[in-house]
Amino acid sequence: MVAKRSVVVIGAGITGAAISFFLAKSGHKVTVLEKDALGNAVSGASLACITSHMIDLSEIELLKWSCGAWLKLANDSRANFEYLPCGQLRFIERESEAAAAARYVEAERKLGIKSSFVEAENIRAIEPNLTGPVAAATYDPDGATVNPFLAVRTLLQNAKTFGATIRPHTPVEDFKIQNGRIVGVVSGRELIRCDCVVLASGPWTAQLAQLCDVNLPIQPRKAQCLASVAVPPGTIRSVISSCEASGGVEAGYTQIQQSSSGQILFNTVLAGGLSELGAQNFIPEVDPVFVVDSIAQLLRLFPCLENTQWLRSWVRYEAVAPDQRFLIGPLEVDGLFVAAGDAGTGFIRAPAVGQLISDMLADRETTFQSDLYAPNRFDDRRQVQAW
Amino acid sequence: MVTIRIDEHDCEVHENALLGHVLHDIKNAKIRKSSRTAAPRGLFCGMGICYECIVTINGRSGIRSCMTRVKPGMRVETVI
Repeated sequence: MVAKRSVVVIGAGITGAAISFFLAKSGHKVTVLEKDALGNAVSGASLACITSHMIDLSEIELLKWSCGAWLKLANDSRANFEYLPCGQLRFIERESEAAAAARYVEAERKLGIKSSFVEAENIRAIEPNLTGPVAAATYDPDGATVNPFLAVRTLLQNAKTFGATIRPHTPVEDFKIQNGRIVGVVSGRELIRCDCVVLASGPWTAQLAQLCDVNLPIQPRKAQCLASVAVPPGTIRSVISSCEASGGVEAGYTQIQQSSSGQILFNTVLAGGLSELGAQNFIPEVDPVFVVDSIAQLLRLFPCLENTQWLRSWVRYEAVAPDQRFLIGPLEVDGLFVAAGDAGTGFIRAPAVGQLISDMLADRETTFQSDLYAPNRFDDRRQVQAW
Repeated sequence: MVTIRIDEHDCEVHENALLGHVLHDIKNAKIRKSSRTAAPRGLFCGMGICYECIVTINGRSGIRSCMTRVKPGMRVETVI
């Protein structure tokens, strides 16, 4: 019999929403506190791609499980978050990178991913309008996208059906700790009592943890996006991404897709690109050079988009840990957990993060390799005791 | 091409084009004025959510131009 706890989840982005759902489903009394509107920050500004392909070989079991969980959620007749099984194509611009990409695909296939290497002459069969100078590509037929706003709301709604309380516009200002154990969170004049707190606050996680004297190596990283006016359906069929042939985490990434409303969405994160702490509190306008460069890149790949009008651009700050993996697990304060550091892939992993946190709270053995995400993995001393 | 009337002008536009895109082009992104601040408004979300691009079509007001395809003879009134 698992002890049922009173849990506060801070942050109603996709990670917080998934955690709330899995915890509420396990019978815990869950309260979600969000400082603004639900899913308004990083999740709402994201392109919400779901794929296991070329993310991280060491995480493949978790990624496969998570992609499967999305499909299961989408097959629920009550769900409507525009799950689109469109596939994902990663383009390779330099011939010299093709061999490494082929090897990566080979390794993935051995682990049960359906990805394949695509020679240049076969790309148009998958993506007819990708006529730019591309040396080769890789393709994952299981790639998908979801509508980020609707996905967040669906998971929160599911959590609600299991008794969770969702409170938007409720910023957390402090924590109440007694004898080294968390007993509540403070919002305005209210003390919300609880047994456990999960920090699922994306780029705001580090500053919240500091209120409990816990230092987390999570930094904001700037991502910039563009959206066009609607163009005919099928102009771009799959999620188009740049191929990080080495699987290297230092490389920046580019993602292009067509939303179900018909708009072309373009997202780029520059390599390196980390911003100072607190950058996420003042979202700037998109850098004009980025707009020009992005459109040039897009037209090089998709010359047919030449006369397309561009409508808007926006910036989001994703949360990034030094090795680009989530921090998931207990912190130095009893009852305090973290689940943040999405590195731009929060939608893919969110259901697995929810399951993992649920396993940890139940003190149950998890099927995932949880040490990959240990929050203290950057701490040489490794003195933190498992909760 | 088809002809539609935008305010006082007859305009040749691509058949089946989205009216919002046509207006975005012809009106230099300014499709209407905010009733409260008189600041210019135009296509924003481009997918029918924000209602920033509403116009009057054939006498009927409050129509989202981003969700409306042009039809021959359509009469469009903007407020700018």
